[in-house]
Amino acid sequence: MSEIVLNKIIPHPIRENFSPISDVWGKEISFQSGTHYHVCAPSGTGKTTLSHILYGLRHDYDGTLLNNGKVAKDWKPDDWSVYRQQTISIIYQDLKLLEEYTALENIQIKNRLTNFFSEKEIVENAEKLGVSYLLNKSCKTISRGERQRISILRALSQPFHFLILDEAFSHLDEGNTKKAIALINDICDKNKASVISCNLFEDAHFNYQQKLKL
Amino acid sequence: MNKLLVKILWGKQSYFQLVLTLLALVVGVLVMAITFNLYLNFKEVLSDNDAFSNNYLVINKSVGYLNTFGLTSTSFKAEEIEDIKNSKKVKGAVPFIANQFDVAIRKGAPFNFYSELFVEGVPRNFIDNVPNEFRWQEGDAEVPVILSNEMYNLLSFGYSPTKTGFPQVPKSALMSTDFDLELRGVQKDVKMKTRIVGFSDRVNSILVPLEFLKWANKNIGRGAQNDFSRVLLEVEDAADHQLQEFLDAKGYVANKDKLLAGSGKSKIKLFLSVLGLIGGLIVILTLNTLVMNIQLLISKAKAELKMLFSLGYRLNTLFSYMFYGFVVMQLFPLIIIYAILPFLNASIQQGLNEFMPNLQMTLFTEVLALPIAVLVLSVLVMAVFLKRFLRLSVLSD
Repeated sequence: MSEIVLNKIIPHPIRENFSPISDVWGKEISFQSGTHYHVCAPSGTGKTTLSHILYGLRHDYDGTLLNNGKVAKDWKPDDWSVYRQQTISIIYQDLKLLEEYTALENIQIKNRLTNFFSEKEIVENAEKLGVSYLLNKSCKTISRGERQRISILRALSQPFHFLILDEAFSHLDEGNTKKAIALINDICDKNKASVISCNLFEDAHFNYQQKLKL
Repeated sequence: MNKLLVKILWGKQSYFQLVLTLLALVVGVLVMAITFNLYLNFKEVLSDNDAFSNNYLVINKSVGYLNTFGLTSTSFKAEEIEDIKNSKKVKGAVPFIANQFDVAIRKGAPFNFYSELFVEGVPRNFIDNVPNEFRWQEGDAEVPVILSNEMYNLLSFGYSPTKTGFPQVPKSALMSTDFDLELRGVQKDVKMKTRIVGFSDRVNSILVPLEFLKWANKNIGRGAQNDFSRVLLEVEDAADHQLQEFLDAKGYVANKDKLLAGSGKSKIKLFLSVLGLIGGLIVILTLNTLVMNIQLLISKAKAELKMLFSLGYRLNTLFSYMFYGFVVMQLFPLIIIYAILPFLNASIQQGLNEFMPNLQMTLFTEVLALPIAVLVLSVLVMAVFLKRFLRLSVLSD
């Protein structure tokens, strides 16, 4: 059981113009593992900023972020490394894959941290998303939708309590989105983990228990 | 070991510059090691406390036919010695006090040795390696002697092999043997004992305590001496040109080999210092280049490093994967250095053997340890800078 608490957080870039009706910025909210959250965020309200603050990639905000009761700003780089190995995972909007390497290598570089899956399990997961035939291809040569699925597979290849989705299905058709959601749900259930899904629009991808507006 | 991580961190790098840098390191360390080895091999020759010492000179006047017929004298008067003392390049000058009576030593078996000889005296502080026993006062029956190493060598290698029955004796045995000393002067004859208490490189003579000579000259011989045939000089640098000109002008003759050895010695010292400095400079410059190489490698892998850190890799993990790479790379210069060093040493010895046929160049342990020391230093320098660059690069926005 993990908890993330945002206490009156206001990111510096939107300090002057954040929406007063936001459920997140400047308020006190908490994310509990096991509960699925939907964050509906129109353009410019700080959707990616929120993902990056939660994942520890940026620290330019006022207020306090508490990870399991500990002030995140006091954390050393190593604390974030452990947190990212064990507690939190992310599917980036811009994917952030290593383009010179194969799809499998991109997944393995994450998986090797904890040896969460065997190579067989990785192939099985890839089959569920219909991309197993891509695994040995360089990420440079495959389509954006395919890369997005590789990025999803990479994010799932570790233990976590929170999975942050930043427009995770933006390049997938309905059929592939459903397959991805099924896999994520499956793994989240096993981990008793939460999805924090940040999207431009409302969606019904997961069984959300709480919906927030940015 | 995570092979994938090695591939990502090292796969994109180009090694050409790194290889060049490491070759420069090999050259620098070899120059340093060889210089150091030359220094250690010639240390005894180059040090100031021995026969090659550059600070002491023995002078006399040149001997000509006029001297043979007693028309001029080769002796120094007290005023002349005073004059020498006042010369700018001379720190001190003392005459050798000689015996004004006949001296002979005698020893039965196994030496069966009898010889007339001479003894001389100079103040204690002008003698090197003065043992405590080298003292005499009126009433003492035994006279301590300091023999020059050169004379000892003559005795062992010149005299002994040709004279049947006189054994070659190690210094320690010679020092524990006492000889009969027979003094015959105009006033009386005296028998005493004598024993060698030390060996000197500086003064090529048979030295006895000055107190003994003064007493013996007065009580046995012809009395105190007024002119002296040899003078011992303490100088700044025996190879100094002005000093040589001064001595030439006065018509004094110095032991020339010492002058030559002196000037050669300072040249060798200068040469070794310059060589060592160059080696050190190459090593320092190479270390600097190595640091720049590290910076380059880090900046080339910056995107990957940031990505790996954001995936959850610890800074220390990334550091060790890069660091071990550098350490492995350092092993190659180390192997090359140890492979070349003995050959280099042998070829230098071969070159020097033309001038010094008996020279044996030893590879000293200190010299063998030097490459490891330098490479350990280089690894430490790398560790410090790698850590710093890595942190800066990964944690920057």
